[in-house]
Amino acid sequence: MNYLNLIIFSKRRQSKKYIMFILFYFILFSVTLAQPKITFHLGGGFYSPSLGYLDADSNSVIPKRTSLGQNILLDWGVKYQFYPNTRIGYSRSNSYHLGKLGDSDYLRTISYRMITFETFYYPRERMELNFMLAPMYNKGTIKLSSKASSLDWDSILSSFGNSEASLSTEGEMTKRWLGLASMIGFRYYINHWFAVDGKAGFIQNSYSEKKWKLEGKKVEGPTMNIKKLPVFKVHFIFGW
Amino acid sequence: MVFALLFGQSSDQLKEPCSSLIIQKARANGIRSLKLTEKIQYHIDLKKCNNKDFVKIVKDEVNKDQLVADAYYAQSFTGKSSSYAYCILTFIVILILV
Repeated sequence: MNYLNLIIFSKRRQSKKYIMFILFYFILFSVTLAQPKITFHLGGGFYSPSLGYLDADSNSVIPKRTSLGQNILLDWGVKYQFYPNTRIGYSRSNSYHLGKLGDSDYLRTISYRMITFETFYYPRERMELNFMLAPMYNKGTIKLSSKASSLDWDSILSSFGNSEASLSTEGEMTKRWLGLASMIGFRYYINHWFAVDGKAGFIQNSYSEKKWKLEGKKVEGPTMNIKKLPVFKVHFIFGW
Repeated sequence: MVFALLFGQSSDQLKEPCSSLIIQKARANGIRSLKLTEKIQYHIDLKKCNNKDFVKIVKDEVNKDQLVADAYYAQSFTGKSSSYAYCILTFIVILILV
């Protein structure tokens, strides 16, 4: 009798073990096959803003610019897939304009900075359709830097045995504003870790030329008509 | 039993990069089941493996399995995520028309 009880007891323990084993593997596999994914993207975009008073045609002071400064955006960003159909991330599109203004180096930057919320699905293997909405906190910067000599610095440095100082002076005016980006995209996975993504949509901005900041003081800035901009983007996605 | 199991393992097989535990894990559970350090080890093991045909097979298999798994988990588009997509579509259509 005791021997029979022992067998039943041992069988119960074994079945418990099997259940634990199956549960463990079920949890393990469901987690491992649906691992969250972190992706990093690099790419570019095309848009056509009306940058009034930041254009050599409308403002003779501003240095001439190429299409890189006018229409091209340079993009990078990071996204985290926290659900099989959903991603959240940070993305940035920058527009640069470099040139010479008198003796100074001129640099104008517009950064479209987005917190992206994206849902997606795979209509077929390797192919993904995605839908993105992103609140933006954008920043515009105009920076001038020039080399300037200082007699006082020269006298100090010469007392130490140096020849002369090569100093640069720079000033920067900045402006921040809110916006919203909405885009639809198509992504093709070449590998599980590499994909090409194309997006089309709109960037909306609540920009006003007032209240730019220069050394803490409020100044008037350029009038840019960037209220509603159609945008096209191509990104190279690297994930792991 | 524990010791018997431990000593019963073939150490030569574990040292062989082509059949390392990391490669086996990647093939069984997918590449994303590996931690970052394991992923580095996985690539090192594949690099060390002299059987290049086998390396190619493993890479293709892991890649394909992961793509299939990704597509499987994101093939359905229902609930809040689809509603979100419809909202964005509607919003973009409005922006185009207005």
